[in-house]
Amino acid sequence: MPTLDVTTRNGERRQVNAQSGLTLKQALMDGGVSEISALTSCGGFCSCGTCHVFIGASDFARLPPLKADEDGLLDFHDLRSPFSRLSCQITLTDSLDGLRVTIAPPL
Amino acid sequence: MIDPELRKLAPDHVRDDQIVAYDYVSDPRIAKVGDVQLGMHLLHEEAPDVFYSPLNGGFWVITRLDIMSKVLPDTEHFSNKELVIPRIVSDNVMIPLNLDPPEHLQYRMVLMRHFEPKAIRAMEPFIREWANRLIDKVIDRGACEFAEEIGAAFPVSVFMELMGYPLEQFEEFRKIVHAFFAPETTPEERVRVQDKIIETVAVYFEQRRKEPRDDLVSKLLQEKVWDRPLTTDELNSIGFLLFLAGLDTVANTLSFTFNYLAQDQKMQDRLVANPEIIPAFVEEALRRFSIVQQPRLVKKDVEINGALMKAGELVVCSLPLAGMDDHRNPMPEVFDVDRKDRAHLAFSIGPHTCIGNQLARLEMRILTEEWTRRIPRFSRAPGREPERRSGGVAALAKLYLEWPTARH
Repeated sequence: MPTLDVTTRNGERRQVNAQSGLTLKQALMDGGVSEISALTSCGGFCSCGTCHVFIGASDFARLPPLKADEDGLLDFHDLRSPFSRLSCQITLTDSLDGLRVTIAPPL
Repeated sequence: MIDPELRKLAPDHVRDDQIVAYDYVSDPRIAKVGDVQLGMHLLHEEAPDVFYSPLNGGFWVITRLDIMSKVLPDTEHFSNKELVIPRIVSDNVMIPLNLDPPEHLQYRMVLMRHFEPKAIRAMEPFIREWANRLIDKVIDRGACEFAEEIGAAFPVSVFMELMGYPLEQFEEFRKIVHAFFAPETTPEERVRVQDKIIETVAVYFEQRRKEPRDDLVSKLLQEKVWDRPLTTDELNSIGFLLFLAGLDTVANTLSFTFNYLAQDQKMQDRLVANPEIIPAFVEEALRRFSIVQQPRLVKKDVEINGALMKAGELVVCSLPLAGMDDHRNPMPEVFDVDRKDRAHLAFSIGPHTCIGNQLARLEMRILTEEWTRRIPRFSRAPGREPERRSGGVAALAKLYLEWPTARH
């Protein structure tokens, strides 16, 4: 069961206990990070770009690589960084314990 | 005992207990209750969560929000290639709505650029101006036919100006949309209406190709998929989708919403006293008055809640039933702005989630803000019952409202 180190939009930091096999988006929502259940949510199917997060720089390489669709949707964000991901496209595993995640500003 | 006539119409793999007569285009339950969504909600009592209706050529129906939330995003088993019931034979496609992954997202992103939250937020002043311009036209009269004069005029004017369509065409465009969605329209006529829409949107793409302006038609001409410009057929197909989506959905949701609000003076008072609850009011209206029934074509045999759906069959996620699902929203018939943990699928879910949902929400919020500010107390004109339409997109027509004016 990985634990996530989450920073919300207003800078509050909290630990979120997640379940392996869920997506990062689902884990954040289950963990009460309400900022991520944006109204525009497509439901976690890489179609709206609203679940944008920044991954801690040193953690980024632990994630599976970006796919073209996710890359395209991230391009909509002015504040895209080299460590941007869509949280719906990351499936959690035990090896991601301690992952640092910051909720990005909304579109 | 199952009606043998209904049994005969259903395929053999459908069990007797899965067969329930539900008329997609005009179900008697709706007429009986006098309310589209409440009439459909009777199915939650009368039918299994997944059932087969042998009417209108036959189709499966999902009645629960949690099952729809699995079916709508499931592009492995369900396709968007057919979305009309009764089925029509036509080569006309709506891009990106009729497309399946993987090609779907390229086209969706073309539209996203123009409908993302930032682009929509920038439109707020112009949308508010339209709301006030239309209220100006009726306010001194103390009465209006809301469905066309406001409910349709407002989002359709916004949409036409956004696209760059001339506003003089307003009546003509509405007539085409009415013809497309009217329950009495035969499948053959519906195909002719589709052709007419495509001819209409093609004219404006052609014009703007020669003389670009600052409008969405011109901007779409500049868009690219896989690093190449959109073809004429692709553009017309996108235009066809936007025409149907932009000219009817917000209009109808507003009419259902204001039909309700006209009959609830306490809610009028609350919105006037606390305009900050208007976003919650809009969400509750979207839940209680969802209007779209969303068909899918089964592309691979699949079992959903014990129902075996075979490739080639149609299945409908009736989105009003998601909002009215008492498993998810207790006492769904009650309009409750303070509802905790409200859930609805008014904009569907998954890769095909309504791309205009931000625009629709903004339009509903702004009209409610401006209307309640300027016409804080209004009611339905006595003795005039609005007309209901159901089918793929439900509607309410002839909604006569009245309010006190300074002179009276």
